[in-house]
Formats: sequence, C-alpha cells, structure tokens
Amino acid sequence: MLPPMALLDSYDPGRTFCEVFTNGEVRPHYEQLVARLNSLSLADIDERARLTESTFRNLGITFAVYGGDEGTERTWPIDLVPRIIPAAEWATVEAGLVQRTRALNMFLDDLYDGEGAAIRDGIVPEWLVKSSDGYRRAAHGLSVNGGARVVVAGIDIVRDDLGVYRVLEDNLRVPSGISYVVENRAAMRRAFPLLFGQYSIRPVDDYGSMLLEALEFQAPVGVDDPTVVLLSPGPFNSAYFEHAFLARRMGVELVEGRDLVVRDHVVYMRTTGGLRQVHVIYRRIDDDYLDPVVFERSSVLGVPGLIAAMRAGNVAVANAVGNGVADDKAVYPYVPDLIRYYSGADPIVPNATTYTLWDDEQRAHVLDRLDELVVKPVAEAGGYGIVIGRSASDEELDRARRDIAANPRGYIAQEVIELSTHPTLARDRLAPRHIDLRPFIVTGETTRVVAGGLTRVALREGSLIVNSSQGGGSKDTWVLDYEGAA
Amino acid sequence: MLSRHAESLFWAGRYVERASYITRMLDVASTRQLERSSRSSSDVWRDLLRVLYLDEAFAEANGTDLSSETVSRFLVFDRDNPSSVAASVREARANVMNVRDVVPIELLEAVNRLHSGSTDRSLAQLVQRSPHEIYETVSGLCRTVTGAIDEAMTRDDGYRFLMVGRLLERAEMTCRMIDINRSVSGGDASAWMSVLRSVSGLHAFTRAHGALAPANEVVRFMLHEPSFPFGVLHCLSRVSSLLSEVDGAASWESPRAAGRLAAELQYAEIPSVDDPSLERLLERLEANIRKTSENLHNDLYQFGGAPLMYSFETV
Repeated sequence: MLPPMALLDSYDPGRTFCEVFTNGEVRPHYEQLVARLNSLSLADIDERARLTESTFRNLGITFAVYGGDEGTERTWPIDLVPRIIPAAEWATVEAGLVQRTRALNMFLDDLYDGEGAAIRDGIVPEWLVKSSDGYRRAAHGLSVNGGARVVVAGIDIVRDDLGVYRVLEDNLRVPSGISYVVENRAAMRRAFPLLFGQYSIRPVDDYGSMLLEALEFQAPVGVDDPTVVLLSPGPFNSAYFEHAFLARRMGVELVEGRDLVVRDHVVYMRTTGGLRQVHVIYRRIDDDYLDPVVFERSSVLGVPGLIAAMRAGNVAVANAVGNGVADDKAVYPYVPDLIRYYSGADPIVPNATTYTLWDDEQRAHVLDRLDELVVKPVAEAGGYGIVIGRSASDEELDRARRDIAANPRGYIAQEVIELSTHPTLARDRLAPRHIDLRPFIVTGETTRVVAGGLTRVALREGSLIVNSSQGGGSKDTWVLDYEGAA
Repeated sequence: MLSRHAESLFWAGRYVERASYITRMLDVASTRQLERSSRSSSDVWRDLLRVLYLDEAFAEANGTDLSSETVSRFLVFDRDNPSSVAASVREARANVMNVRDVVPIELLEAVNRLHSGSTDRSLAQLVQRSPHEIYETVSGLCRTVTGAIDEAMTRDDGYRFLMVGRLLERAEMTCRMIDINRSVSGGDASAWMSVLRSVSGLHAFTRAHGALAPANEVVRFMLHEPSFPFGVLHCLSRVSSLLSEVDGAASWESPRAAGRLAAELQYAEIPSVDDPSLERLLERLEANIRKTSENLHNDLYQFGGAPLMYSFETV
C-alpha cells in the first residue's frame, strides 16, 4: 500500500517568487520545516490552529474593525506556517533599513530643526514638502534628542518576482504591529515546540526594553530617572491591544488624554496619590489629536497645552510631531535621493518603480498604461483607495483618471510588484499566498532593527492586499542565526 | 496608580459581583417558586425583580407575564435590561480591558472566558434549560475570575479597588435582599432559609444557630456576623480597611465614611423583623453604601478635577 501523500508533495508554487521552493527543490533554510509539515496531516495543523485561536481569544489578542456594530472585535489571525529568513539575507535587509531610517530621521530633523538643506540643495521640492498632509508648521523648532524624530519606524517591504527586497512604503508616525510579532512567536512555540529545537531563531521578545531605552533617551536634559507613559486614544482604537501590551512590557502607565494635565508647561498624570510629572510620552495618537490648542480643536483625545510644554523643554513626545511629511507617498520617490544626500551611499534596499503624477511626461505615460499599473492615494493607509489596474473595472479606471487629473499631487503610480508567495493554510491544503513584511526599526542613541518583523499574508487566493483590516493574516517570521540547514 | 485605572478596577469588581449575584438569586428564586409555600410563583418572581430594582423595567418590557422563562430571559440577557447578567459581564470585561496593562494575564484570561461563555446565544440556550444551569455556568466562570484575583493579583492598590467594588456591591445587595424579604415574608422561616441559601450562608448559619432559629436571628446573622463573607458588617469593615491602605488615602473621605458606617452598624441594635425601624435601618445603610461609592469617586479625582468622560461617538 502506498503511504499517504505528504502535505507539500503536490504543492504548486505558481509563477511568482516562492519563499520555500525553487525549481521544485526546497530552499536549504526551509528543509526542516518542510520535513516537519510533511510529517503532519492537515487535521493536525487545523487542530493546532483552533487551539491557537482560542488562546488568542482568551488572552484578548484581538483588533477592532471600525464601522460595524457587535462583533467588531476580531481575534488576531495567524497562519501557523512560519516564514524563514536566513542570516546573510537578513543582514542586507537590516543594513538597508538602518540606512533608510537614518536618512529619514536626518531629513525630518533638517526640515524642522535644521537649515532645510535638502530643500535648499534641490533634493526634494519645497512645494511638495509644504503641501504634504503630514507637514506641521508647529513642529518647527521642536528639538529632539539625537535627532531621533522617528523613534519607531515600520517600513513595509516586499519581494518582487526575482526575489529582490524592495521598500513599498514608510510608516513614521504611529506604526503598529510589533505586539503581534511577539505574540505570534509565543503562539508558534506553543503550537510547534519541537521545531524550535531544530532551528536557532533570533529572539523578538526583548522589544519592551529596546523601546524603553530609546524612549528614555528622549528625556529632557537633567532628568535622570524619567517617567515614561504611553498615550493611547483608548479601548476603542483598533490597536488598543498593542498599546496595553507595550505598556506592560515596558512597565509604564498606559494613559489617555484625560489622564494628563498641563500646568505651567509641565505635564502631569492624575494618580490616586496626586499629580505626578511625566517626562516622555510615547504617543499612539495622530498629530491632529495631540493638542487641541494647536491642532484639531474638537479633539478630546489629546492634552491641551502639550505642544507648549514640549517647546518649554519639559516633556518629550515620540514619535515627533510632523513626521507624516516623510512618509507621504508623494515624497517616497525622493527617499533614495535623500539617502544618497545624507549618507553618500546608494540605497541598499531599493524602492518600487514609482511615477509622480504632477510631472507631465510621467503622468502621460501613466495614463497610457493605467490598466497595468497600481495607483495609490498619497495620504491613505491600510490599503484603502488603491486601484490595481489589471483587475479594475473600466469605471474604476475612469474614476482614477479623473481623480489624477483633478489632483495630481494626491496620487502616485507604481509598477505592479508580484509579491512573493508562501505556503499558507487554506481550507483543504497548503496553498501559495502573497506576503509582505513590516520590520520595526527603533532609534534611540543608535538605530536597531527587530529581527524579522510582521509578515502579513493575503488570505484570499491571488490577492495582493495583506492588511488585516481587509482580511489579511499574519505569519511568525524567523530570522536564523546561520545560513540554511545547520 | 492612575485614578482612571482605580475607577475601572472598582467597576470591574462591582460588575463581576453583580453578574454572579443575579444568577445566584435567580437560581434560588426558581427553586423557591417550585416549592409549596405561602407565596405564589409570580409573587416570588416579583420579589426578585424588586430586590434588583427591576420590577418596573420588567413590567414595561413584558407586562404582567411573570414566569420562569420571562423573568430568566429578562434578567439574563434581555437587551431592554441594562442590568442583565450579560450586560454586567460585558461591563466587567470592558472595565478589565480598560486596565489590561495593569492586571495579571490570568485575570484577563478568566474575564475573557466569562465573556465568551456569556454571549447572548449561549445564555439563551441555558435559559431554555433551567435557571440552575445558568447559575452553574455563569457563577462557575465568575469564580474562576475571583480565583484569578485571589491567586494572581499583587496585593497593591489595584487589588484594593477591585475588592472594594466587589464588597460594596455585595453589601448593597445583601441589604436589599433583607429589606424585600422583610416586607413580603415577615417572619416566615422557610423564606429566610432561601435568602440564606442565595448568599451561600445556609450551612454556616445552621451550624452556628441550629435549623430552628427564628427569622430575627437570620437578619442579625446577615447584617452583623463578622465572619460571614456576604454579611454587611464584614463587607463594610473590609472596605474601610482596604481603602485606608491605599497610597495617599490619608486625606480621603471614603475610608472614613465606610469605617463610620461599619462602626455604626456594629453597635446598632438590630430590630426584629416586624419592627418598622428595621426598614429605616436598612434604608439608611443602603443610602450610605451608595454615598461611600460617590465619596470614592470624588477622592479619586480630587487632584486636577474629574476628567472629561467621553463616548466613542464623540471621538
């Protein structure tokens, strides 16, 4: 009698770059994983997935989806087939992320607290910077220790059809996802403890101390033992689980705007023992809601007088105000030049091929090939508003054409990147699904990268949209200490 | 600790206690209306609704249809009843989630289990079976929550606020139960035995006073017995001592208010069941328990004023 077919025996990776197989062979760093999966049945994996889901539910590892009534809280979706990155490959990505984050920090500090050299030297046009939704005049003159305006960055990268890593977008304001990186790892340990004996995986769960160290570096001059807090919009926010997670891991208070009060340019929190001074605020709310005196007046999430307290040097806020100008998708095409300008070296991880639409020549080219390209609104996040030419209807393309004509500053166009695929648990088999990666880069005195990051996976067949708000899942991401099979 | 955290823990404690208390009372009432007694089945249900101050809300939603099913449904998960078991569990969880960064994982997990075991659908299934199964399920889940509190929580201010919430809720409920039973059953011993059963006190009471003890003895036991966990004196003394241990509470009003209330009760002569002054004593107790809760809120926010409260709509 024939033995039953192993899970990955008949796996067809399709035509795009596959993380696991190449020309029918298993890549060396995936050998043990594939062997382990082939020793299991689909039912075995399903059973583990069920247990993982119920653990996540009981631990409240969830995210909120806006716009519904009840059931708007969803359990965090994890796919139990991990993504593996060998050491040398990661070293290159890591160097590229550090290089890029440094340049972005230098650009922001130059813009808000320096002489505006990049604009002066024509690296990026002034009108573009000042017309950005993320640009904040109020940030001028607000100094940041060590120029670390982006304390936490989330830089989304993908692999194209040749397996080349490329940056797809920068998130420099309040990037989220790191808590799921840590929880995914814990879940994998519960689900597949034996695999951890076969691989030597770089840890991710020291993130709390990494972040706290970087935040304490932001403390006002002369404060030796700063009080750090995490400012959250509250339990209704989609990332509230993460806010609580980080507060726990760092051992700091999770505050809401209403817990803070400013008196004589000093920020305090209301505790049962009285008012207590706060020195560093890791804020997880947008610039607009930070201080109703300066920004959105009707906001009840923020703290009136906060910006003035910052200007007085009594409190530091991370990430800094006004970072959105550097992750504006319209500024993104200039980032490679900014890297060259500030570091004198070529970008280690390239951008995706991008066209700017206020340039007449490029716009004409784009409008010609609209059905082959991707159009993205510059100010949207979470995968909203993206038009993928080849799968868009004629109406959608017409609308995109009109939108671009009306507001060329508001969009960019990119060549389609056929994201790499990875075997992922589908209903009745392991099937290829597109993935991306959001690594997290923390800057204090130095810039450090969490090993790996959040791998997001588009659970629908063929879909390129990986955002969890739109039905995406996630994978644990293993960065190995060594090359391939040990 | 943050004042807001203190308040959330207080309410988490109150709501867990309320959920478990309601299911317990429902169970006892349903047993009682099955037994032959001087009170009809619908009287028993009406008494229960009055203890919970829900008689009017029930009448509005269900008219005069007082049956095991209508009352259970209303008390357990009816959306018209903001104090249902399901609503209390939702509130308890929301409050724990508000402080999820300061409570132990074990507590978080227990509360989430309580919450996922108390969905409208699973409660509706239980209601169709029997009030006893509701009690078994929900009360059991509540006990895993209180077990997690007992086992995993550091005895810090957070623990104290959580316990104060539980104990004040208990003290208030026990007072109401005595009050309603006094007015409807007078000296009927079997009715008082049911009341004791609904606060896990029947066995303790009979061991101490014998099965033949009169109603007056039960009332004294429930108000005065310092070792009885649901006893009003027990709850109030603990509230007072817990609050006085809170960091910075030297200037607070609430520990003093609770202490005064406990002392007053301790030295009060407990009137007999048919004496109208018992009603006045109970009313005063209830009012002062509620006042203590208000004192605590004011104490928490004496620095920098009470914060802006907002709902999701305004965000």
